[in-house]
Amino acid sequence: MRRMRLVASVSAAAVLLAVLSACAPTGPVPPVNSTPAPSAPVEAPAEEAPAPAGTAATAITATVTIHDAPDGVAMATLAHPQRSGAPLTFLVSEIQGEWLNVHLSQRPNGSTGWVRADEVTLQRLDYSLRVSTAENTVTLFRNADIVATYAAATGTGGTPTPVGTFYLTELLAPMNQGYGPFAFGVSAFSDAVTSFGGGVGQIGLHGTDDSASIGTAASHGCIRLSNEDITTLAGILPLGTPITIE
Amino acid sequence: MPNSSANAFAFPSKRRLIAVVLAVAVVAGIGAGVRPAHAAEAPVDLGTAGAFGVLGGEEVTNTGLTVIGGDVGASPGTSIVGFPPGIASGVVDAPAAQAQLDLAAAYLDAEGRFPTTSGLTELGGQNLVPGVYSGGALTITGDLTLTGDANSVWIFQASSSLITASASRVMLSGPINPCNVFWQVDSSATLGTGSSMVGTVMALTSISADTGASVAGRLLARNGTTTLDANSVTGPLACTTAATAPPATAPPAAAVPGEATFTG
Repeated sequence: MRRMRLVASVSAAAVLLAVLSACAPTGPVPPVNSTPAPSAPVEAPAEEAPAPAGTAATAITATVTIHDAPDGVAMATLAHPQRSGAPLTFLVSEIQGEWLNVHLSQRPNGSTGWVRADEVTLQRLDYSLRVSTAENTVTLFRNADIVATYAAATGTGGTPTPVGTFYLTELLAPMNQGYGPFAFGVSAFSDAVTSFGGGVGQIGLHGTDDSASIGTAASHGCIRLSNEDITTLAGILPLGTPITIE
Repeated sequence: MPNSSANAFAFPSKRRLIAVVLAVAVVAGIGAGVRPAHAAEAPVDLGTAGAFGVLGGEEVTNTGLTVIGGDVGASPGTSIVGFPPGIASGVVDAPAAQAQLDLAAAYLDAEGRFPTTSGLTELGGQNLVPGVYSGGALTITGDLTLTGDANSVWIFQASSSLITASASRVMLSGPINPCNVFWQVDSSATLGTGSSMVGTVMALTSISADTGASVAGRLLARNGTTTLDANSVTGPLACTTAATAPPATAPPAAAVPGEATFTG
């Protein structure tokens, strides 16, 4: 049926052209008179927007396939939203045409993979975090500017907080004790703990009921902030926000 | 009697006349509803119903940690149950009377589209280009793949029910806008446990999303109940495509209630 409609369409177009053919005007196009435009006033250069802290890639399809290279082998398929209900989000490392190299939230720490650009939407990130395990602090940056520095608790010698560049994977309002009012998932995993509280040893950035631990190396690898400070961050930080742990 | 040269009308040749008649007939046929093969389907306009991630007729009931993008509402019923623990990025128990009217119009629009393919039943295992697909009781077992681009539109017409099997998936191949996929269901729709659905489901009666089913789209029931169970429904938040222009700034994350299992 579709083929018949296609043939009819082509035939109609051809016949109409034959029956209704008209001659387009011919001959030279008359020149357009013009006068030189006055010089434009010199304007001060526009202030450039600060460089972003990063780019977040959020899934727009029900699943996102992770490849080992652009047009490469599919290594894994991740569901969107995540099991927690949070949107599946990555921190972009590199863009190559229709492919994005993204940080992954999986072991080993620092894992990356390639996703198709048409499976995600890209958004600018202006905030970033820097964690100092030596000083037990978390510094919030907006682009290149320091916004605030917060006291924190990081991991003990036996359960250290892993170092590297990671990103915020999800934001929970915990229904269980010990994490304060908000808990960000971080794309980092403990090198010492592979099972904790029903989880697989994923690092979090969260509040705490143990305020006395803030400012010390006291956690099982997570980064603890005061409940007031984590609430502040929960109100401003998008998923995908880079967090560098030193 | 000699012809007047001043007012003579020269009849076209017989061949030319036949060509004119054929052209007019074909064009008239096209105008009457015989769609050119490459005519693209226009999206269904949801009106105010588009702001809803979940809409019910009698009520909306939820169990567990369901997360919804957009509004949640019911009309003419007024019962919204299970929020919390369910949460929505929009308004829970939003006014929905106008949305139901707009949904009715959208439903009739989708129902009235001219099918590209008819007589369908099982959609699993198929790879479908944009178009209008019609059947009685539609099912999805395994994967259904939709292949197209950012402007592609799919309309599925089920004169009976829509049932997706556990762990079934609607997969997108290409920069497809999930909000350009529409499911018009003449009775009720059931999304299987852990299944992944794409698009706006418009059911005349009820919609049930079984445990863990996820929807990149909307669940809009006209007359019955929309039942949820630890689902994620993106709602209008799904209506995006991969950006080629400078990206907008990411908004703050929305907190999801749940059990934290980080190392502490």
